[in-house]
Amino acid sequence: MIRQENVTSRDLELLNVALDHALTPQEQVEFDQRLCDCPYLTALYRQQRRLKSTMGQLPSCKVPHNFTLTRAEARKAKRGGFLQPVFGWASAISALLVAVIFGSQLIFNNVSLTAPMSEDSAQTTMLREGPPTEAVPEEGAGIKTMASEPVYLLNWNSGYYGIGGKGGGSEVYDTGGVSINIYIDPNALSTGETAAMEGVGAGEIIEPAPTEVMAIPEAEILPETIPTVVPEATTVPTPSTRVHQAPKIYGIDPEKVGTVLKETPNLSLAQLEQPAAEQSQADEAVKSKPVVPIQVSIGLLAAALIFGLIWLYLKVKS
Amino acid sequence: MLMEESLLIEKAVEGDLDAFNQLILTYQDLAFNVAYRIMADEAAAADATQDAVISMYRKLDSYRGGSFKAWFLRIVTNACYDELRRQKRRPSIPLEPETDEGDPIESPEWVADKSPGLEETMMNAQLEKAIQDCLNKLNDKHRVVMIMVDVSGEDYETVAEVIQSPVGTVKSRLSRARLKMQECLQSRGELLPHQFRLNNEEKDD
Repeated sequence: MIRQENVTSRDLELLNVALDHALTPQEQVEFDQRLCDCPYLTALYRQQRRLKSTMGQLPSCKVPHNFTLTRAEARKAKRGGFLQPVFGWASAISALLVAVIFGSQLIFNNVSLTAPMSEDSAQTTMLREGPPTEAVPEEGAGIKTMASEPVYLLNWNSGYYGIGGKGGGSEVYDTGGVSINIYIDPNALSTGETAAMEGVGAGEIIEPAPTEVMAIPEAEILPETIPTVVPEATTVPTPSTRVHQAPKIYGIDPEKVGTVLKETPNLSLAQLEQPAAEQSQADEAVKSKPVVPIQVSIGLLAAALIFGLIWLYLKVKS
Repeated sequence: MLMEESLLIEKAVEGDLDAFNQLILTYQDLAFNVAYRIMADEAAAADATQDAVISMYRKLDSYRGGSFKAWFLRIVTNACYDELRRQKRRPSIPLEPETDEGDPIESPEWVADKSPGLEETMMNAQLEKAIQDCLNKLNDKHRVVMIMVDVSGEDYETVAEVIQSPVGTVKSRLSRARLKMQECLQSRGELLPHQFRLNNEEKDD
């Protein structure tokens, strides 16, 4: 019984090369030595030689016919070879375009959803919720506190100076349900006239434009908080060399405390809400409107499918 | 010969169909026999070879030099793989005569050659069938290497070019294929003619 002990992978490697008569002289010496040492390797070598010899003697088959191509076959082969890649590329490009279109829409929608709201759309400010809080005057802030009831502040007064500095709109102080716009004539300030405000009700109220007022329930008026809205910083120092003239003092008419000035005439409360709603709808429409018409996307998708199927058919057929 | 072949290849690439057909005539026997050993079926081998020729004609533009024979054999083996995959997806039932019990008669009597030398012919047929069965049991990679080296007698470099692998890969696959082939033939030794039994040491040279 021949045992396969002591036969290494190196022996098998040399055996195979020996079968193909490709041993180098050095390998031939090494292999002959191994054949002498290992009877199993010798037997294996004999068997493999016999196998190789037998396989080499297998009768070759005669070709059933010549495999040459006729002119017609050659033309057909070339035509089929041309159409298949054309449809393949067309399908791939269509699919790529569809992917780009849907991908871009997805990206744009995500970007627009996370974008901050434009400041231009905040011309009408609504105060709806939250308990009454203390009035905290703050430089540059449009609204200081939140009212307990909805109060519509129409304070977009371009060209006027608000208390607390120059700006596109007037400063608004909420006094717990009553909002007041205070206007100072910029012409008076620019000429260096003193504009001292000595307190609520001490001066003359001058309304810069005919306005329409909306009544606020009396119960929500807190007149005792009104003096807090007049900061001392609004007093303009008077140069000592200038001729003192009678200052124009603007203040708050106590009789009109509790009213809200509105500079947009002929608009009802419902109409005031309308621009915001329309803006919101317009924004939604812009967001939902696809960059590329949906018909184009569907057409491209259909083209990708059809071209792909034709390509597959031609591939299977060929 | 090589000069002539390179000239034919050049003409074929330029679109000369006659030159292409001349090249096909040179290698069609080799290609068909490799296909026949891989497929173990003459008709399927012929189909695979014809598909390979058409495919070659289409891909002539992509021929980048090297051995034309290796390129041809590579396309033929790929066509055979495709055909084998197709057969696996749609297995067909061979039209072989059956015994009363329904078992197929592998060597029907009516096929046998009645001429003198019948015994030798039968033995050769048995041996060939045993070898082909064992070849079919090898996996595709081992089978192709063994057919091209041991049956067709191609060198390692050509086979390496055909399977697009290093020569070392060819050697290792060939080594495993031969061992498996030997095991397979030994396992059915009783079915082989006496003088072809691999473990019959008396008959060794």
